[in-house]
Amino acid sequence: MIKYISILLFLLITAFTTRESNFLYPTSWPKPNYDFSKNPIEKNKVNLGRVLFYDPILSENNSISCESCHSPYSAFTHIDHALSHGIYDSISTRNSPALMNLAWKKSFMWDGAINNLDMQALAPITHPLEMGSSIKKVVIKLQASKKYGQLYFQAYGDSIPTGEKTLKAISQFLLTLVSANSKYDKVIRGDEQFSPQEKNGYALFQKNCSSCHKEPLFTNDEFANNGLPENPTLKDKGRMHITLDSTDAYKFKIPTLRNIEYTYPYMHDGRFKKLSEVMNHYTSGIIQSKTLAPELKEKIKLTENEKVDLISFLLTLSDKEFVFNSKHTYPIEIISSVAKD
Amino acid sequence: MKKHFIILVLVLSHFFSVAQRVNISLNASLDGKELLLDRVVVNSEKDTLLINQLKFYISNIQFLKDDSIVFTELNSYHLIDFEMPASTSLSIKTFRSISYNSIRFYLGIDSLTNVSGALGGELDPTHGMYWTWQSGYINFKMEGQVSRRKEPLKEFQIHLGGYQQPFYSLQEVQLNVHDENINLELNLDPFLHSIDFSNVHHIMSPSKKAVELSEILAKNFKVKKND
Repeated sequence: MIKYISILLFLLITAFTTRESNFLYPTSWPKPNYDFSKNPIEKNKVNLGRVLFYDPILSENNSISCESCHSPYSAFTHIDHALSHGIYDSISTRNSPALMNLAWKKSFMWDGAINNLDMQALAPITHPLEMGSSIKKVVIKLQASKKYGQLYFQAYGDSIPTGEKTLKAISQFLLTLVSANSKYDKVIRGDEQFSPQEKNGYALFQKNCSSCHKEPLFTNDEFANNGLPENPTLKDKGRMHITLDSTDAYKFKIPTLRNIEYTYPYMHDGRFKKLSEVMNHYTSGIIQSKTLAPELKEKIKLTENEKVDLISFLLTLSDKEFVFNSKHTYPIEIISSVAKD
Repeated sequence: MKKHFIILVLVLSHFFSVAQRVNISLNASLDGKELLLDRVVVNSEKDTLLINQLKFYISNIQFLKDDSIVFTELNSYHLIDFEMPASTSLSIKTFRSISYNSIRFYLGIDSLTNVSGALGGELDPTHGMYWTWQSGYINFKMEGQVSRRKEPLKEFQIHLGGYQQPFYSLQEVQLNVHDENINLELNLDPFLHSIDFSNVHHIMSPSKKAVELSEILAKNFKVKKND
């Protein structure tokens, strides 16, 4: 009897690992937060999600796609723009975040407004300053498309798009955006070595930054007030807009530092163009307030040389293979294999 | 062999047992009369109201006999939309004959479902019952035009929801019932009277007021006697 139970258990366990094994990540990393059992990664669903990601059909007048603000070549953000640009040349109120390693996130957006990756796309699709449409309108357009009829059939065995299938397919593509092959990762694996400058920068990072920008994801996925003065035009109180709790005022999602070289400008409102400005903020620009992160209450002291060393370490977080991965770029090979509309 | 036979008999009897159905119909009342969408109603306090949308979720339907649960509907999510008359009649398949004297359900969508990612059917976000700027189902939605004491008509939108404390707005409703056909009526008057329409025309995010209004709604369901 015990033998049968253990065989059964073994079969169950292997069944789950094979399912999850479609999602690859370094063995030393923590377990992802995304519930893959509800949306197991499958090639055709990833393909559908990738086509949707690059298609301006998601916006009201077919002008803006996800890629408009999340370009693969800048680790899926919008470089040079402090605030993201949307439909009819509108300008939004926050800096578009870089997209990577999303399976580990517990909440999304600078203020954590979104509780599940599946529901994230609804926000830009609907926002009047982003895509200005609605999931209902998008699904109606998709239902009228021959191309998508084929792609949904390949993904789901059913050619009729729904909100659920659309959102889950977008999640599938986003989940595959795993960045884990920077010089830092190679050093950790023992395949490469830091230069003396990078090594010193890593020590400074561990001493001053790593409690919030926790390895290996370089974020603890929490919210914090990092002492930025309030932008008088935007008056953005961050997390407090969601919780309505004044102890959350000026707290924003702690972003990952991976690929930071590609994701300028920095901060929720894109106020800093260069990493040197970020360094100067943390050493001499912190505004004291009730909600300031406790880690920043005491001044961070860095000499000019140390700032340079710290930046040289941050540049080891650049993952060129991620940024130029042809599986993440415009899906010409998928689109050319299905019907034209 | 004998064992297998017994199992076979049990399985067959399960399929051949009379599948009982409980029919539930829902309607809403305004100023003592049945609510009709897109009709102007002037109440005794000279308020003018025109409701053009009324939608809400009923979930986790259970039948009880003397406070013990005799049946829980699986995957129990129902979007009641007064623009779609078919959605205001529910037919609950109980698979076996049950004896009950009360019905229990949620007004809204529970917290766990709210954090479960993209869902389909009645819960598909294309139904317009999911917030987009912030995650979470809209449990109850009423939109229309209102004027208080002969002021000009103004658009109003009331979207109630919130799946996290301190603004968790899900409500449980339990009512005594005696019949197989249950006619539920939601009296909208106390709800509408607790909104200050001279000043407030939009309630569209989780808040203390949203919880308070949800509680008022939950208290104003009643079972109408069958004619």
